[in-house]
Amino acid sequence: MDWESYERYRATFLLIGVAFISFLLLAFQRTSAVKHLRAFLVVCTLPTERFLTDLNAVPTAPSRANVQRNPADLAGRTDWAAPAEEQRALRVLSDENARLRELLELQRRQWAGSVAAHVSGRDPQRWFQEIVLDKGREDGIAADDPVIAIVDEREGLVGRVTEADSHVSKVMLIQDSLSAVAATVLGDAFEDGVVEGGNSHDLILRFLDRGSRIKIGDEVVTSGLGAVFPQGIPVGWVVDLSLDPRQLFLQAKLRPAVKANQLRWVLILVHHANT
Amino acid sequence: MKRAAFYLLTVLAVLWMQILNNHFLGGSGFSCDWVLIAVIYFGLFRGPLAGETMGFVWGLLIDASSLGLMGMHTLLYAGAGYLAGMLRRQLDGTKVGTQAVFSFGVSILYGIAYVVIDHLFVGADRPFSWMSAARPFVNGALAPVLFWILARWSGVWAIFPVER
Repeated sequence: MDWESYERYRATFLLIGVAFISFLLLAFQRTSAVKHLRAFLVVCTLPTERFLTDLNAVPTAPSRANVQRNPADLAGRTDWAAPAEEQRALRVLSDENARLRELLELQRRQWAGSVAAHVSGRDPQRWFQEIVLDKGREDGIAADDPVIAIVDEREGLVGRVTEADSHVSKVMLIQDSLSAVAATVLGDAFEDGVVEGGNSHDLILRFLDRGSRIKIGDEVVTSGLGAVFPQGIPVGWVVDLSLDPRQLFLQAKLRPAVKANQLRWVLILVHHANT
Repeated sequence: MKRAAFYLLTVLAVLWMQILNNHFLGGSGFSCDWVLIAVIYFGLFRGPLAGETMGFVWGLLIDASSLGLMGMHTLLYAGAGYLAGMLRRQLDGTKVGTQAVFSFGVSILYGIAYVVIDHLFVGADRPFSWMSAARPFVNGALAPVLFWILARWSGVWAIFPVER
């Protein structure tokens, strides 16, 4: 046997070995051996992720406190040029807003804390499906924790944690075609539906009644049904309405509150059971 | 020792390139699979053994860092390295046109295999993404650039392919 034949067979045998190992890894994803191997390799690649985190670092990560300004401060301002009547209306609205926020906060108390995390990795072939965050089990993150982002001082739903490793975690985005989020249409319609992803920028709100009063521009928020996501987190706005393919329900195309391309920092709402 | 350092640094450098690329260009449609091109380079210039070994190592690191399916990229990259290595006698890897067309073709095969494995082990039907469709073209267009860089990088270390 000459050298070239030997090398060819050797390469083929090596490929068979590599394929065998790969299939073992694929078939036994959930075993502790594969998880340990992954954890070790993640530690090897972590410096790169950390470097990118530092590169994109901002002085302080966005926190919920930043967006929860006290409306009373707004109402107490005296430098308004508006007439007294408008100021009174503003005060009423501010008080109402404060009460609603308190109610909302009450709903969210089951989430004992939140952890700011940086998006440290994304696979372009799964761009609308998942992101990898630089926080993991050691930071109190667990599977099914909701993930939100704050854009223009407003919260928006991003997705939920599907896998938490010791130092990193994976998040399924709401744009993933496998994602389904119970949601409510605000406004006249005030109707429940399910927001599904389509592996693209936009979302689809399904299972609305054909006689629904939903209209373009209505805001859609999480309904809290299913107990995975807290109630009232903005999901998106209605941009188009149509009947579903079977003509049984109305469905709405949504522009997401947080675009998949804007994700840098996110906030993981840590369930009290994990802390 | 020098050879080991060369391979180690190459693995890290290309991995960095890929992670930086995913970070900044991932959703743009101009994202390139630098690792796949590097695997093709090693297969074409250093034979199937080098190609599939480098592919396996890169695949492990990519799978781990993306928290994706462990074993998916190891299999795909190793297969690409093997294919490139086995065809190196039929192809002139020094020609820019060959580099571009071969990288384009392997990227298409890679994309098909990716969808099949994803379907088999994740079990979900995912809609077609235009960004995935654009990738082979980007890979083909940028392959000569990475081939040139890797050739220069090998030259710096004075580690050239050895024909036996």
